[in-house]
Amino acid sequence: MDAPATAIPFRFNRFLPYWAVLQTDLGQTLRSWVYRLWLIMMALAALGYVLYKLGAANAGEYQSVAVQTDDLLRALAIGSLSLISLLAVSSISSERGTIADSILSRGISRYQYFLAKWHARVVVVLATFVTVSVAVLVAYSVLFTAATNGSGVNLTTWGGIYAVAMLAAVLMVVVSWGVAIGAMSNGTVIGITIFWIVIFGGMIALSRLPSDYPNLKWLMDGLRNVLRGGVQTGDVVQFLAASVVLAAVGAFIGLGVFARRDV
Amino acid sequence: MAAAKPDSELVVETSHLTKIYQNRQIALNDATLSIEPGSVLGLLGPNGAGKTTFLRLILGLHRPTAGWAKVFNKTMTPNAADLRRRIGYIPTNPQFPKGMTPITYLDYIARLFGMPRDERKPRLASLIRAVDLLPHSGESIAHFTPGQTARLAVAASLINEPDLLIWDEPTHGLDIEARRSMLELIKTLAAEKTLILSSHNLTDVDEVCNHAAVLNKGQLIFFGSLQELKGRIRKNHYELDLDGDQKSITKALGVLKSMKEVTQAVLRQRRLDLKLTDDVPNTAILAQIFQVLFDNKVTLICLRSLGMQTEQAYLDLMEQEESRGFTRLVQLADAA
Repeated sequence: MDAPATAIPFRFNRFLPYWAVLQTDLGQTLRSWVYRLWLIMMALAALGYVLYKLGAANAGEYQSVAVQTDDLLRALAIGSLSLISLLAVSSISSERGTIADSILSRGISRYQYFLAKWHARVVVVLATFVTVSVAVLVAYSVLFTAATNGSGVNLTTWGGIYAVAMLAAVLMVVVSWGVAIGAMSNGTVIGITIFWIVIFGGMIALSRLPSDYPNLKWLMDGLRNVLRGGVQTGDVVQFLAASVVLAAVGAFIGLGVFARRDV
Repeated sequence: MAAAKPDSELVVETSHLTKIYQNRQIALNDATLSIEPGSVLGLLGPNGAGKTTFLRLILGLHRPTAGWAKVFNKTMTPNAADLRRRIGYIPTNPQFPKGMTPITYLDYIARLFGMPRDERKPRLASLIRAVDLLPHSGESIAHFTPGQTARLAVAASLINEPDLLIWDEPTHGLDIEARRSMLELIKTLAAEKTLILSSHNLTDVDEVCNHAAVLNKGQLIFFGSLQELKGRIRKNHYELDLDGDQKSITKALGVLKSMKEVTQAVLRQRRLDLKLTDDVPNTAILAQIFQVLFDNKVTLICLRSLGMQTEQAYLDLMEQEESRGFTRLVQLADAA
């Protein structure tokens, strides 16, 4: 018998394994019941709230649009947390064992697998949230402008963009830590338990930051102000940068542990 | 054990490979072996012996607690994707991502190996044809029978044209026809690839393997050629199917029991289980036994040497291992 060949017998594209997992995970996430349930819940909540407020406005019970959108966006973001956490944590933990055998036994490194999974979940969650949020803001602007002859619409375009971007940044952190914890834990249920402990721990830690620091509490308390455009761009950039760093730290920890553990 | 070979010739090499799960379960203990190119290694052992753990360590899906595993002379790690590109693996119960057809699944697996489109598309088409899945190529894998699933797993393990095939119980759950096809395929592949087959089915191993490794409770208790495994056991254990008058058979049995070269003679129905002494060549004793049967007008229908069966060799090995007890420790100290 000849000695084994010294090279693989085909041309090799090093980014293909990453793209394969990314594309497959995007497709699977979009087809999953968790994602569909989340999407339906967000759509129903947004539609119901907008129609209710529109009816109230037509009946003469006027409320500031910034206040309404603030309430709705906050409700969408916070109400989505449980399903988003399930989407994020289950990303890798649900594939532990048999399916991981079929994938990780091939020519893909743990790094590429983790990054593809992380990116897929972040893209799906952020794209969905941003789409729904933008739809809500546009609906409010259009419908309430008509209902109140434009007199009471106090949303600004940049304010809306900033608000959506900041909430999306928070979700990015949540998803990143969720995927990381899922990669480090032995099962989805354990992963979600740990995830919630980390989330609450993180919120407590963030609340200890100096009051002038644009943290999560600052965002939630001041979201209606952001929507009105009453926020400095520098603060928004600082908040987004801090979120990116937090998300990257979570992913880095998850990647480091996952690359060395049994699957 | 196989004699140590120069590194360049080895496909797989392990040294003191040990896996302890969470300080609770010793799944593999100090396994050292080397597999040369062209070998077809049958990995044997009862449930929980450590076979799958051994394979997962070789694949880098698990990290060793101690020792190391080298594949193609490079240490296997969880991130050694370049080594896994040369391995084709079939897990025990292959699972597939939901909502895929054979074409999309094989395309996915090929992309995991980094195969560009112009190479992977013709390759997957050939493989689907080769494993007879052409009529089902557009159907969802979720509705596949075990036989179709096994054939798809075979195709997936061959898509990267691997030098080393690691198949964990490839005939598990297959009907007779599918099992026969699988064994024929293994024989064909054995001509140009190195194979490691984990199996419970010793008949399969006997048919297709030329080397064997036996694991028991995480311990590698045998590694060598299949002939070596067969040669380890006594060649003095026979089974005779007899025909004739029951009284004649009983009388012959009495004579056989009185022979000092016969250490055990047990008659069950018309099947005689005979164990002979090692002191005299077996041909001489067998000649005497045939004479006794002839004298008593007993017809011999079939004579089987249990000593030449891989299954018996395996069972004897297990029995010896179980009875060793603390002598394991003594031998360990001697080896050290």
